[in-house]
Amino acid sequence: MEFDAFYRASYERVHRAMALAFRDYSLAEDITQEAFYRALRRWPKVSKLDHPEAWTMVVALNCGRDAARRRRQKDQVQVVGGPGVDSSGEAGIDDRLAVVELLASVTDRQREVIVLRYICQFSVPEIAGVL
Amino acid sequence: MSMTDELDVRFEGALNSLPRLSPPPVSGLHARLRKRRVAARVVGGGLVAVVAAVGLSLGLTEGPTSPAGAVVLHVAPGVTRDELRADAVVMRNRLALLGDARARVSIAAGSLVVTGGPSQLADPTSFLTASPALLVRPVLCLSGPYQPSSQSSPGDLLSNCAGTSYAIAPATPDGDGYTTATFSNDPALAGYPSTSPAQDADNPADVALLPTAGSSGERDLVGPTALTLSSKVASAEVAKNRLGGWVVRVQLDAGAAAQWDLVAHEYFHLQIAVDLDGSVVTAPLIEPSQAAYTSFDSQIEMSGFQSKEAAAAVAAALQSGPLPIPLHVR
Repeated sequence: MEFDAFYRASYERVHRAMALAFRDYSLAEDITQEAFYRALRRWPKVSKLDHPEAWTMVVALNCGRDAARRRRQKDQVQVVGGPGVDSSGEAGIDDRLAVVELLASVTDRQREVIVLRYICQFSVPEIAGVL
Repeated sequence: MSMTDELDVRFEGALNSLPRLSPPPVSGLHARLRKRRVAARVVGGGLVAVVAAVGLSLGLTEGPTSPAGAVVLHVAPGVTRDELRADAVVMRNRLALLGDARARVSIAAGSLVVTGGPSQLADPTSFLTASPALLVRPVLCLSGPYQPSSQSSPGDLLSNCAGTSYAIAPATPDGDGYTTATFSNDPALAGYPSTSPAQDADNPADVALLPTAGSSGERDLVGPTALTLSSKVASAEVAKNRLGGWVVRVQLDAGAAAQWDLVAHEYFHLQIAVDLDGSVVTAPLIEPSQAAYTSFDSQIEMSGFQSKEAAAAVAAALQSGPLPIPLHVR
């Protein structure tokens, strides 16, 4: 697979997953870009993996975790929204808040597993293979 | 409904509730990979060039505390007391910007004497004698590490790329924006040593072969200086970027901003290099996401510093400007 096609197909899913995991749209954008950049740097190897998107997702989660620790992000949580988005009465807002709450309440490792299971739709054996 | 099914539904709803977002142009990642330490992005209509690993440029890295004794800084013979006073003014400003309230600058026996600081830097004399040269030059072509030839001297540095296929060409549309092709290193440049910082500073109108900061030997052949920004920094502040790294945000003064605008327009969709003390610290492609040129409200953001102290030293040296008369330690 060419990197550019992979990027276009996977970017939005990784970005959304990071927005849910870290509750900060700007941070999500930064770490998603960083993760895809690292994937591009290692593309000859990453492209041979069974799940390049999962690899990228885990890299992004690690970047986000490190950034969040530095920023003490728990003290400056932002509601997941995004530019120009009015969340009031929006379909799915209950789901979003529930997911955000869930992801905030688990450990880093558990968060990786949950993202891979419920966003990447991996089976348990596949998750074990990636992690 | 099982808990797993419910979570599936919840996650699907949560993901779908987020706004749709088009990915940024992939050309940006390719450009960053080519330059490794470079990312250029448009922020609020202005260009922010993100620079990596410039903390090494002035030899300013955090280390063990140095003794806060006196440092005697000498000048070349024939320098007048008035010229020395001009250096003292820059030096006091530089130390004040670094927040070193205890530092004192005096003139004694034809030398400048600094007492009481800066103690937090591993190499305070580099900071005190730094005269940062910040130049803007067009990128002509790329080169790998220096590979000296045992047979003969390479002679004078080439003034251009060995072939047109190596010459950096204007960006072309790629569907997402504009991007340049992937240029190979010009093999004809490998046998030439890099231009030294002193040669670079003394000959700004010449072509130079400069190392790229933070790389493993990569170099750029850059053209004559299009703009000198050394004494045109209005402010330089230390901050943290989103990922927690220390950065220096440089704002040019009004005159330099206008000149920068002219240069950026001239090199629209081309790469230009920002040369700090003989190293290319960034080489952004100008406005790769735009089909037509728009004016810059420019600032330069440098990142990759290992510590707040290293970033603060570069910020203070840039904001205080070059020393009118070079200083050295015996």
